[in-house]
Formats: sequence, structure tokens, C-alpha cells
Amino acid sequence: MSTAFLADEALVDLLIEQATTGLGPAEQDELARRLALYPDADPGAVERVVVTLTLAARREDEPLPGALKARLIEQGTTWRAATPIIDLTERRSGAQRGSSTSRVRWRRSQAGWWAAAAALVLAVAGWYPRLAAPPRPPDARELRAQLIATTPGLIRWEFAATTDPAAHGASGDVVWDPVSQRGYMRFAGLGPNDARRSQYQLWIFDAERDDRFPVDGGVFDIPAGTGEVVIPIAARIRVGKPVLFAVTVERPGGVVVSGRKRVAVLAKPTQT
Amino acid sequence: MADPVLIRIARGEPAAVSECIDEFGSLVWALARRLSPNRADVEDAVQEIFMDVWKSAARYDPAQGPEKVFVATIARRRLIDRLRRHATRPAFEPAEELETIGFAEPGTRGEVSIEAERAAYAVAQLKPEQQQVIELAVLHGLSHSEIAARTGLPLGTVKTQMRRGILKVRELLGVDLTVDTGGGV
Repeated sequence: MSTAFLADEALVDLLIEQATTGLGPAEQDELARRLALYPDADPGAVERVVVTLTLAARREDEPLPGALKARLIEQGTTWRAATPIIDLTERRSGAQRGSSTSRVRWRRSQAGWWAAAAALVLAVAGWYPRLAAPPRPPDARELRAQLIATTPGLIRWEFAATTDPAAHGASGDVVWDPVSQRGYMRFAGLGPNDARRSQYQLWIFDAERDDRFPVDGGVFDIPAGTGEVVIPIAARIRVGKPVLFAVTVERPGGVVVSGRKRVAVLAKPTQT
Repeated sequence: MADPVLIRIARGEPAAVSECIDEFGSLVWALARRLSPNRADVEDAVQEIFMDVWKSAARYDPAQGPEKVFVATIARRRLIDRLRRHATRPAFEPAEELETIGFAEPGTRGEVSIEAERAAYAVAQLKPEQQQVIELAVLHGLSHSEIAARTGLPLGTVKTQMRRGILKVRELLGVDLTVDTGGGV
């Protein structure tokens, strides 16, 4: 998805107004006209920032008034009773987790509807056999190999274990492409974690940023009983010039700023 | 770990509706109080918002972001719609009223979501004038022209500071805040 639309000041101003006070009909038309100039634009980008900022307000702990809460429960119960149930037997858990595909399925009794849908699927599958059996997406190990094979100027540093118990006997490396901002960590011997108690978190120290605020590279788990593990890096923001990759042990879900109490492994340029 | 409450609502679990009210009641109440013209309207708005949330629950995908952001997105849209529909604006006249609501200091939000912590850190890195205009717009629902009138800044400056601040926060937060509530709310 392109971010070129963010350079259009009038368009961004309209998106901000839409997310903060709403737009009148003329402004909505203008917004639509401007968005049409950027077919790859993400029109929800500004709203997501505004909503996230909303959550950063000082805590207001006033609970719902009791009478209103009672009305809501009654309203919800009535709505629930009058609404069909949705069967969420499979749900997308995201490309990063690499899990199965998702669907939201309504329970329907109309056999005709299903028959029509089945006929459509068969027809489409007949015309486009690849749709019926989509190829398996590459896993992290294959994507890492592909990145290494196709990317000049790739950073590739070895991880060194610290004295942290989780890192005893650990080894591995990190590859990072500064252009595409993609990368992978590979570990062997890094201790398995209990995700209910702790998770590993990657930090990328950037020469262009304050050392106190390294870039969050994402949290990850090392399952028990695995040999070599490849973990994709999920940097939250752009990394300018990485100088150090550090993996810490943090509370489940990770932290915003690490106390750096448990640093497991570190990767930095080899000194020559 | 239990499934997110919105998924359990979509699945029809009877207890999930009241759990949802328990979990997000304070958030929705706080947003409605900030962005409604009077107390009676706040209560109506909260009821409308929860109905929207329940109807939209099947669209929630945990892989796309936290439930709190999903619910807050729906709430803000509904509140903005109501304000425009009623052609009324929240009464924020006394300066003291504005001072009671603001961005949290980073690291002071305890159990609140990691997204909120990130946002607080991002806000702390903005210039003071950017923080001010964003706070007035995002937390108090003031328009560009209302912010200009209140702060004495030229309208163009308000827009510029707002735009730069929002884009800076977006950059600091990263681009993968991908909660999508769909277009129908």
C-alpha cells in the first residue's frame, strides 16, 4: 500500500477532519475526489492514529452509571435473542502466525443457497484450477533463504549468547534488508519460553535514534522441542542504520520500553 | 486463554454481552462524555455505540489489532455522526474543563493496552504546539477553526501543526495499526 497520499497536505487535512469532527457533504465529495488520485491510498490510516491517540488520554475511571448498565444488559440480551448465531470455526490469525485461512460462516438452513454456492465454487474451480488448490505460502525459513539469495547489501550478523540462563548454548544469526525493512532471526539452542509467563522481544538499536528508545522488533516464542527456529522481524517503525540487535526476555505481550534486566542474545557487526 | 469477548459475542455466548459492557463500558462512557453535548445525550450515545459494537463483532479479527481500538473506532464514528446529525457541539467553554482531560504521561497507564503506551510515548515526542492542537482535536472534538479561535493561532498554523503531529505519531507508532472495522459503522 502506497503512502504517497500522505504528502498531499489538503488530503491529509481532510482525513484528519473526517476522523476528528466529521465532514459535510461538500467536504466528503472533495475527499473522495482527492482519494481517487491515489488508488493505493489507505484512507483509514489517519483515523487509526486518531483512535490510538484517543486511548492515550489520561485515565478516567468513572464507571458506567448502574441504571445505564442495566439498560444495556437488557438491550444486549434482547438483541442477542433476536440475532442469528455466527459460527466462527476458523478465523484468520494473521500472516505472521502462518495459520490456516479464515471464514466467517453463518448457519443457514436454506439448502438452495448452499447448492448455488457450491455450484459457483465448482464452476470457478473448473475454470481456474489453481484457485481450488492454492499453493502453500512460503514459510519463514524459505522467505529468509529467498531474501538472502536475492538481496544485495543484506546485513548478516551472528548472535552471541549472554550469561542469561535462557541463552545457555544458544547460537544464531540475523539477516536484515535496510531497503525493504525485512529480516529474519535464526536460533538454535535458545531456551523455550512459557508464553503465559514471558516472551522474547527483539530490539533494534538504530544509529539514527536515541539509544534509550531502540526500535521494537516484535515479540516471539521459542517452542519446546524445536531445533532451529526462524523468526520474522516485525519492526514497528522504520530502522535507519541498525547497529545492534538485542533479544530480551519480557512479560507476555512485550513492553514499550525494556528494563533490559534479561538480555538473552546480541548481534552486532563483527569487529575486524 | 479465553477468546476475545467480541468473538464470543459473534458466537452467541450469552454471558459475552455483559462481559463486553464490563470491559469497555468505562472507555465508551468516557468517549461519549467528551464528545456529547449533554448528559442525556451521553446515555443515548452509549446505547447506540454498544449496539453497533455487538452488530459489528463478527468483523473483529484479533490478528488486526486489539479489541479496544476496534471498539474506540466504532464509538468515535458514532459520536461524530451524532454531533453532526444534531448540529450541536460539545460545550467546552471553561478552560478548566479542557484541562481535566489530556494525554497521559508515558508509563503511567498501568494495565491499559500497549497501544496506549506507545501512543503516550509518541505524543511525548511531539512539539508542545503539536501536542496542544492534537489534544484539542482528538480528545475534545474541536474543529480546526475552533482550535484557532481558542489558541489564537492562525488557522493555517493549526492545520500545519496538526498534520505534522499526526504524521509524526503515525511514523512513531509504525504503520501496522491495521484494525479495520469495515465501512458500515
